[in-house]
This record gives sequence, structure tokens and C-alpha cells, in this order.
Amino acid sequence: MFQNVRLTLAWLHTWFGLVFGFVLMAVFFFGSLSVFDREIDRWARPETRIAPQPMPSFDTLLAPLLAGIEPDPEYLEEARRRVTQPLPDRLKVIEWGAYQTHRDPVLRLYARFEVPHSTEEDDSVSGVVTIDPRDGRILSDERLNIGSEFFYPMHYSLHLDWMRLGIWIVGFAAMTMLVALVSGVVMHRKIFREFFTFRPRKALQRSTLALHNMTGVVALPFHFLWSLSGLIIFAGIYFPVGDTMLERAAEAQDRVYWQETGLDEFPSGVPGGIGAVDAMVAAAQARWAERGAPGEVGFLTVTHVGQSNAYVSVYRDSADRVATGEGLHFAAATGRLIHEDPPYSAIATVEGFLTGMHLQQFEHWTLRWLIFVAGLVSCVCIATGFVFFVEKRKHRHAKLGATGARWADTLAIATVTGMVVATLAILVANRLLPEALPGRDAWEEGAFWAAWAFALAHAAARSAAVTRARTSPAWAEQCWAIAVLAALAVGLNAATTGGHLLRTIPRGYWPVAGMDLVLLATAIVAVAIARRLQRVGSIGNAAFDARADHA
Amino acid sequence: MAAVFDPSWRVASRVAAGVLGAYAFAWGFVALGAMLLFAAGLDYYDASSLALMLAFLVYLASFCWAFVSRSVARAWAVLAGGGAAMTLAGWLLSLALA
Repeated sequence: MFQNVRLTLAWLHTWFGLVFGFVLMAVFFFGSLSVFDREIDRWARPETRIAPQPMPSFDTLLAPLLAGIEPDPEYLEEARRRVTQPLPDRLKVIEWGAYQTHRDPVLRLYARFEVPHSTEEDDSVSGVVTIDPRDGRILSDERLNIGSEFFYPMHYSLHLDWMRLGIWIVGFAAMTMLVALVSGVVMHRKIFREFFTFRPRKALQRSTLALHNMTGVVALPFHFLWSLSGLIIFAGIYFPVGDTMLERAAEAQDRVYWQETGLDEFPSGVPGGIGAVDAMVAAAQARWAERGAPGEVGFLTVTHVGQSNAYVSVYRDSADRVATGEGLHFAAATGRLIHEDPPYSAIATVEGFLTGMHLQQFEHWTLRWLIFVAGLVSCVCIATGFVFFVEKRKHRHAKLGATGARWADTLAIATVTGMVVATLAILVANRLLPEALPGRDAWEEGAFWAAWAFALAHAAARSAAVTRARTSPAWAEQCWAIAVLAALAVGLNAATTGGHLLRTIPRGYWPVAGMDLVLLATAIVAVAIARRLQRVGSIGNAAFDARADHA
Repeated sequence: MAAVFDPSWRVASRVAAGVLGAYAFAWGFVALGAMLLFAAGLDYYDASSLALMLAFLVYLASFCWAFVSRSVARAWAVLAGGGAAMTLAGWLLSLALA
């Protein structure tokens, strides 16, 4: 397309990087926050600020709760549009499940129900409840788990659920990240020298590029592996061969699986009871201990609930390993061990490692922090890419009267500082909204989107400066907004929950103490950046005015 | 930045070849790759998961190549044509095997 490969790749890097960089900013920023999603949940839901618990007794506590789960009304409404005959009043339950990790003080229970007469094969709807595992109290679902239910899905789907549009956009953006890494390395062949040439006091354009290159190189394996493993997690969505053209081969393999394991794919149609599941859990734990890997239950399911061929599957939690593990399957009625999953094949081990590394259910706080920091380094790399794009063009565009740099800068402000403003706005709203407000979760989300829209409007309104080759004052102004909101969030947490740092640090309650400390650090960094931007900005603008006067 | 050699419609065609042509090529790679591995005796899920993991690297290489290939027509021929041929071969293999 150009005279040589290097220029072509530079063109790809610039334009795909710019357009999809706005998406990648959201993906990497909310991905970084998702590393601590459970801790953010604790901060946002003070009633759950308790220590993680082992899975409670199934027979006495979980079984009645599971039996009481109703299908989610929203899913039910959607299902009504997929059926050829009206749905019965009570749907038949087909599966129960309980899930938690070593960082969860609460336990999530779900039930899956059959949707009969559906136009879709094996159609089902689910219902979910979250409980306090100490006493089985059901927690309100009108409280938003901001970390695991808002930031985390934002990171991979942008909350655009229609036709999985968000997952596709994020997937293509992740591919663009890989393209940007390859093209970036080709563009800068002196890659290791760049690593040592960060000159923070040089001219803005030069030092921005240096920081862009340094953050790109120093975390290159992270940028590459997390983009790739994110794609691999959703590979079945991006290339659904098993549900389409290779369905026959997949089904043939499934038949082998059901035959070899002795588990039944379909319910027997004969009613049957469920025995002592606690004894099966104890048997599973004895089995793990026997193999030298004792542990807690992370995931427990009952398949074909209420049928004579129902079976219970027990999976160990993944606190001490990267990949999630093999399960033990028991006959629900008798507790007989039907099948023990064999160790992973070599290929499944590689895939399990890549996806497990991305999802981090393991317990290793140093690694967790490193991954969080690496995610933020990715954000800095993307953000400096935007700034370099604008810095490189703004003088030329100012002379030509072009507005490209202005709008790129506006979007950059909205996705860099504006996104942080929105993130803090949802935390502040979470502490300010009345506890009894109906649909409180929707209000919290509304605060997020409203703040983000406001940040975009503010960035656009203040962007005229860029057309005069100046730095937009919106950068510094939004940094001040970040500082105020972050400090406010810490103050509101102290005022409304009493869980302030003087109490959480001595008690060693790090989920909330860590959140408050990161918020305070954010406020300090934002003030430092705002002050520096205003100082450097006025020097830069004065220099430009002097040059313009001279000319 | 140096001038783009191609007229804008051809740049658009390159972008389409990079995005869609490379997708067709990667899809073909998954279909044929999974079925060849399946034929070689691998479990279907092992076969497809290996092909899927590699597919993103295939997409990455195909995407970049669409922009540096000598002509747009060549990029389309190799990526869309190759993708279609591999998809067909993978599908025929799946019928023969299962």
C-alpha cells in the first residue's frame, strides 16, 4: 500500500490504533479493575463485608434455598417470545449450581429451568440468588455488585448485549491490539534502546512518544498474552464451528463422552430423590487429600434435578492453581462415584493455563497486584498513543484550520480521564443513593453513564483550544474532578459505613482498606497531573504564541 | 506521513480484505485444522481447541499480510479463496469422519 512494509504497518498502527484504542482503553481499564472485582463488590455492598466462608452444608442450608429459586422475570419475558405454545406456570428445573472463589464471602446459587416448545434447541432460563453463607439469608438483587456485575462485563462486552455486539467489538479491538503490537515492534526496530530512552523533561511530543514506547515494550508480554487469552476465552463465540458446520463431529464426540463416563445426557423421566450431598462433598475432599491436593469446594452442580438419574458434580476451587480443575461426579440418589474426570490433555492444559491466567481465580496477591499494574501500564500505553497522535498533528491542523486533532483529543479525554470520572461517579452514587431506593442498581448505572456523557460533553466544549494548537484545558479540569470524586468516595465510605482506614487497616480488612487506599492514591496522582498540566500547558502555549508572533 | 500509493477505494478494499478476508481465512483454518487433527486421532475438543487457539495468530498474520501484499486482488484471492477452499475441505472431512 506504501513504498515499504514499515510505512504500511505505521499506517495500520496509527489508524486502527486510534479508532479501536478508544475501545481498548475501556477494555484494559475495566479489565484492570476486574482484577479486584470482588474487593470492589465489598466496598460497594457494606452488608457483605465479612470474611470468605467455605461452602456451607448442602443438605441443610443450600437445598431448600435452591428449591426456592424462581426463573429471572426478565429472562422469562424473553423466553415467552421464543416459544410456540404458552409457558406453563411452573417450569421444570433441570440444573442447580453453587459457585464461589477464595475471595467470595457470599455464595451465588443458580437454577436452570427447561423452556418447553421453544424454537431453540435445549432452551433454558435461569434464576440466580446470592446468599450470606453463614445463615442462608438471601441478599437483595437490587444492590449492584459494581465490580463483578458492572465493571467486569463492561470489560468484555461494553454492556452491548444485543447480538453479542459488545463481545464482537471487544474481540476485534483485541485483534487490533495484537496488530498494534506487531506493527509497533516493526516500526521501532531499536526496541531495546527505546526502553532506556524515556526523557520526561523533553518536549511533550517527544516524551509522550518515549513513554508510549517504554510502556509498550516493558509490558509487551502482558499486552500480547492478555489480548490473546481474552480472545481464546471467547473463541467459541468468534469461531462457532462446533455449533455449525462441525456440529456432527462435536456431537459424535459427546456421545463417546456420555458412553465412557456413565453419566446420562438426558433426564430419565422417572422421578427420583436426592441423597446426602454433604457426604459426597466429604468423599470428594477425601479424594483430593488422598491425591495430595486438599482443598475447598469451588463449584457444585446437580444435573437432572428430581430425576432418578440425577448426578452431583463437585469441583475443587482454584486457589492454588492457574487452571480450573477436574470434577467428581456422584449419583445423586445413592452417592456412588460414577466418574472422575481424568487429568487434562496437553492441549486442554495449555488452554486452561491461558484462560486461567486471564481470569485469575488463584490466590496470589503479589501476582494479582502485578497484573493490575500491568493492565494500567497498557492503559498508559494506549493513552499516550492518543496524546502523541494529537501532539503530532495539532500545529499543522491549527495552521490548516483542520479539526481532526480537536476531535481525536476530545474522544481521548472522554476515554482517558472521562472514564475515570464515570467510574468514580458510580462509586459516589453507590454511597449517596438512599438504601431503600427501588431499582437502586439502575440508578447507580445511570450515574455512571450520565457522568461519562457529561465528561464527553465537557471535553468537546473545551476542545477549541486544540484548534489553536494548545492543550485542551479539559485534561487538567477532569483531573481535578477525579481528585475531588476520589476523595469524596473515601469520605462517603467512612461516613455511611464507618469502615474507614483507621478501622479497616488495624483490622487487616484489605478488600475495603485497599479500595480506599487506591482511591486516595488516585486523588493524589490526579492533583499532581492537573498541576503539572496547567504549568507545562501555559509554558507550551506561551512558546507557541511567541513563535506565532515572531512569524 | 508518506502518501498512500493506492486510491481510497483500494484502501477500503484492503481494509475489508484485512478484516473480512482474514476472518474467512481463519475460519477455514479452524475448520480444516480441527478436522485434520480429528482425523489424526485427537479428541474433537482437543482438535478444535488447538485450531482455535492458533486461529487468532493466523488472523493476525493474515490481517497484516492483506495490507502488505503486492496487490489488493491477490490479498482477496488468497484470503477469501483460501478460506473458502479450507472451509469446504474441512466440511467434507467432517462428513467423512462423523
